[in-house]
Amino acid sequence: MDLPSRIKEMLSLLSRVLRHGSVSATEAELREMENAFALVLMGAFTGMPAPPAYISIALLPWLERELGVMMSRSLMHDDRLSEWADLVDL
Amino acid sequence: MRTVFFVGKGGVGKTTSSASLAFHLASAGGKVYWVSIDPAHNLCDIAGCRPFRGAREIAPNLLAEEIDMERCTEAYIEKNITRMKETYRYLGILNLEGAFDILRYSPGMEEAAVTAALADGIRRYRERIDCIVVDTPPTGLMLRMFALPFTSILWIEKLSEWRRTILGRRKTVNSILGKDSPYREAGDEAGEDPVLRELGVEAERASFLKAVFADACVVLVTDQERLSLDESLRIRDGLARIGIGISLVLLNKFRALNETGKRIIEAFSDRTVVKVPFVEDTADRKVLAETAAGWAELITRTE
Amino acid sequence: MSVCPDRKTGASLVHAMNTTLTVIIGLALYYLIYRYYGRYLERTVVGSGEVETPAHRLCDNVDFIPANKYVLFGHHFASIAGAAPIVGPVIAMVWGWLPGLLWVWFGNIFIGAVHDYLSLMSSVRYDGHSVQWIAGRVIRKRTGYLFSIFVFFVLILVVAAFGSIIGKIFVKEAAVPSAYMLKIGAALVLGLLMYRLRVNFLASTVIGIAMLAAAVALGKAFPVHAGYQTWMIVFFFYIIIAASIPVNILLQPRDYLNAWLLIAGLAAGGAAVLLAFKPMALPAFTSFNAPAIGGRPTPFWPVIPLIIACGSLSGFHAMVASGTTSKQLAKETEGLFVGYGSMLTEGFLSTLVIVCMGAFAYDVMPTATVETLKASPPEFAAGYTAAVKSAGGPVGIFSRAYAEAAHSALRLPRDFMTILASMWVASFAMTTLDTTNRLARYTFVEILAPLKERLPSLYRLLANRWSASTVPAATGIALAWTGAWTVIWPAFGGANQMLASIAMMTVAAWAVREQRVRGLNILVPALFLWLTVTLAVLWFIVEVVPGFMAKSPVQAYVLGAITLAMLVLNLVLIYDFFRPEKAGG
Repeated sequence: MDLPSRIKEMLSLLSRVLRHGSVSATEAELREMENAFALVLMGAFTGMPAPPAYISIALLPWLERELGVMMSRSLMHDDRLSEWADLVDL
Repeated sequence: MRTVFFVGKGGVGKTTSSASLAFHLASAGGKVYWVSIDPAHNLCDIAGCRPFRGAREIAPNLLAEEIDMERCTEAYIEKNITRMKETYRYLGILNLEGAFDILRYSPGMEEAAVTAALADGIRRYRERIDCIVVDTPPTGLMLRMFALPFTSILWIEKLSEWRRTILGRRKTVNSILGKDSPYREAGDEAGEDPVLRELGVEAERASFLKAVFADACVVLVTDQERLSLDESLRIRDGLARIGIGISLVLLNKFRALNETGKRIIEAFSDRTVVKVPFVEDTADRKVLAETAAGWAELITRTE
Repeated sequence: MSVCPDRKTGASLVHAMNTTLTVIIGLALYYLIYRYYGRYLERTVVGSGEVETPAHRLCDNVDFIPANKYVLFGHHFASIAGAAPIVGPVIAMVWGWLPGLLWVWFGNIFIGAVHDYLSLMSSVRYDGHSVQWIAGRVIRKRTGYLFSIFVFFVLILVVAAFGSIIGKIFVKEAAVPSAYMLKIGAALVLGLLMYRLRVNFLASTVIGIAMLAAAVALGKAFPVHAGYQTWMIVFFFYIIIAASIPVNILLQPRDYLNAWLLIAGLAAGGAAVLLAFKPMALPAFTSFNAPAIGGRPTPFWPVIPLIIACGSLSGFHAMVASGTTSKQLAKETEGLFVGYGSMLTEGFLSTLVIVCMGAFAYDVMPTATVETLKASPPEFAAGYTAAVKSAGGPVGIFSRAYAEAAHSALRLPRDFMTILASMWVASFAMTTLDTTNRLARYTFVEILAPLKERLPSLYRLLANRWSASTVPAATGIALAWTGAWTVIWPAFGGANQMLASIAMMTVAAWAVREQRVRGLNILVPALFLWLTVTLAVLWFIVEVVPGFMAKSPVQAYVLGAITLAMLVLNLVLIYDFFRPEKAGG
């Protein structure tokens, strides 16, 4: 591969690395927001304080993604601490 | 356009009273939509017609409808369950049919269905109607029905706000990561989000009903039984908690004032209590209309 | 120092060392070890590496997403890079530049990077679960709980350690706090641009970097003078506030700016020392028992891991590796690059620091001081720490030496580079102050969990959001109150290395019991580490705490209590290691 395209590739990679770095905390926050959103709506079916069940039912058809996030997050329910270690820069 | 709700313990003559008002106003020339949500299905007995579905003009100027609560709730749930079955068909969540059937018994489905039906009915007919007369279901459901828009609006607002924050964050991540973003398939436009749209629909319905309830005239029907007194007080307090006041009290099936009757008048001393005499033949429309003559204008007069 | 090229004794070889040569040797060493020892490690412990990683196997586009190896490296390296790989080596110069360097090279290669790499790989083999979780499974259930306790101590002590170090530089060099505050402002603005208004990434980046440069430049013009304890109070409120606001307002944009500071610092520093060819001026070796901590003669072994943690070995890295990194590793064969490689890169950073200090520190000290220190190696050992203190602490002396290097090799302006270097360290340190508070909120409640059943009212009193935030912050700041960073830093190092101890034992247990490898090359470092850390902490309690007691009794008692607790728990750990719970029990 010739030098200019090599450099271009490296710059593009650098850009990707920097971009990911610039939103890593935001992505983590977003994940948790979606998780919590689903949890709150599910509360109607588990007897927790929650929005009236009919709101949850009305929204449920469009919450496929959020329910998935909720279930994924629940896999690590007893292993939360280390996930946040990368915020600390230690 | 006025909305009048008839509330009271079962058996005190709620449907009969609402029928009185409906026939009275209709015969006076007003256009009336008379809707009964009471599962006791008395409307047809009183109106003297065979059971029918939907709204039907049973007398000149008088449109009547009997909302079958059970079928109404059934239909409401079915609609949602069907939507969910379509969406989650590929997700293999548990035993899909079984799980979603449980939703029938979710707390709040009845009042959700009923208020939805009520809202639809009012919206459909209010243009051509002068007065909507509503015969409400038994106390428990009636109170939950009234309370629903008030509690819902709060939840819906918070959920919408939260949803907008989520969409905003997604948009930020998408704009920076582009095709590297795990959210590129998930929606990030508030204008296109189905969840926000659904919340908007519910918000609109809830505020519509809130306005209707706030503006409505509530008539408490009771007789001189001890149990009726107790329940009437519960109704008054329950409605007061959501800021709805009782406009008029009808002391029904009245022959002579007894101890309980006195206590009723005392308890509602700040309201007009009208003694409505016992009506022998409740199927006679003219008699019914005349019964209301004594107090109908109290309703139309109040702000 | 004279260079005698004719004589081939070890002494003159050392004398011939200069910045360039040292860095090149370091790079070569790391590279060769990575290639040969790293591969060997991979083969023996991890195997062929054809097993599908959880990022693919459990891919859910939420937590488990395979990431490009460079992106993952960048993320992982940025997460482990901080202020510690810079501060530690500066303090360790008291033994001369060679011992610290050897620890940074060989400690890293044989213990630190192994620790990071195996933490990552064991997590990968355990469906992305953390080392803490794995410890609970391969050693004993309560080991996971022990882990949280050590983490909690680390979170408190790091606030004390970093707080006191930054407090010192803020007092000595009033331009630094103002530059930092301007940088906070820049972060807020950048956050608005990039995350709210969604301005184009490249444009926002350029604006961000420009603001950063402006902050450094303007800091000099508008210095903020305040006393040390005033800064401690400011830090306390800063921690509470910064740890309570949404992430995208301050934390995210600030982290992004820090990444650029790191890039600039590494690039300029690396280029400077490589092009300098300046011989090492400071003594290579002063004495085995140089007075590093609290003025007490400090034995290089076993105490060095407490001084130089990150850069050579850091327990916290085990959490980072087994946190998000393991869930995003696309191929097992990339684990060496990400896990082992980032730790070596951090070692490179520490190498730069040592080399910079070794060659240029004398050039930035007052002449009288240099005279005294140059007299003889023991004189150097005796006077070095005091010289550091009068320069504004480790950050003060480092930033000046760094600026001197950048100026002499690259002709960059001294003042600007001094503040840039100080800002670099201060930024990472300050970030850690509030992010650890976020973690401490969670860890605090997790540790109190056993109280829930037994003493519910006490639990309710302690385990609320308010106290979970203020107790760790207040304790940390209180410990930093007297500014005795020479005492607090090793305490923090001790907690961190206790964590490394558990992690190493966990991965050793995993390697031996699960992977069924002979694992001597992991077991030996693990036990050696355990022994080293235990002895070091014991030494600390016996030698340092009593002396500290005379000066600041309250802090000494708290510190003593914490270190004693850690020591006891460390003994519980080794006991549990040799008597693990039967699987399925």
